[in-house]
Amino acid sequence: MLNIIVKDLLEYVDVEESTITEKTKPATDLHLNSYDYICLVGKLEDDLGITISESDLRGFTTLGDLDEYVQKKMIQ
Amino acid sequence: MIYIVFSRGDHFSKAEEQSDMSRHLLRAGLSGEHGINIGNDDFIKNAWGKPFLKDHPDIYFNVSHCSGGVALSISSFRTGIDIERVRSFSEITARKILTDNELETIKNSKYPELDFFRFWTLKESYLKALGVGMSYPLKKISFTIDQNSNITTNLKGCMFALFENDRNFVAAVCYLNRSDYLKETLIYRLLS
Repeated sequence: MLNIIVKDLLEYVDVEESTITEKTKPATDLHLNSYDYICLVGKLEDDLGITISESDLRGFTTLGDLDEYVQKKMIQ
Repeated sequence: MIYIVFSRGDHFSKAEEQSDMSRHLLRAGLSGEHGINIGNDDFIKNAWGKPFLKDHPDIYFNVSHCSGGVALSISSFRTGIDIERVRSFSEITARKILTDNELETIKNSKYPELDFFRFWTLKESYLKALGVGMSYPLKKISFTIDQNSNITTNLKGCMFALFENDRNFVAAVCYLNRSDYLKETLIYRLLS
């Protein structure tokens, strides 16, 4: 699932794909701003057919956190 | 006081340059308004990472930057500010964050991108004033902006203002627990 998140993420940040890992922090490491972050969340929802609530967003620090959350959502 | 710097060229297009300009503005603003000379150790952060002045709990500030724009609000009220370059927007995102009335406004707008970022920056400025990150449901906040740029909202006790530059940039500022007429001084600089 991380590869889908990274593919969507690369639409909003200008970095080498190989530098992004599950430990990457979108806000501090990639300077992803709030608007791009909410766009990324919306894109993931659309691509994967899931809903990510705003109240859950506070729990994501790294891409690994988001990946784990998305995987759980896909099983539900 | 509100400080906004816009660029018509390629000034601070990179995130590091925007951060440098933000720090410069904040240092200049706090020094000029309150005689406070800040160092890196003078901040504390809340649970969502919003910084506050450790030794001046009655002075609030908030910074925002985007490609080509930096904005700062310093106030005795809890404040949030957001600046965005007006550009094409994602319809998926619009449906996620805007109310039905706001979507209708954009649909019927002569400048849909401008109206979208008006709504976005207003909502984001409120979240930044609260200091709760992205954890607040944005669809529960609603705004209407009339032809005279008067802003009305379902939020109680807040004051908002919009600043725009040739439909290229939009900045919104929010103050919590404030209802008087906005008398803040705006410092505005355009880099060519």
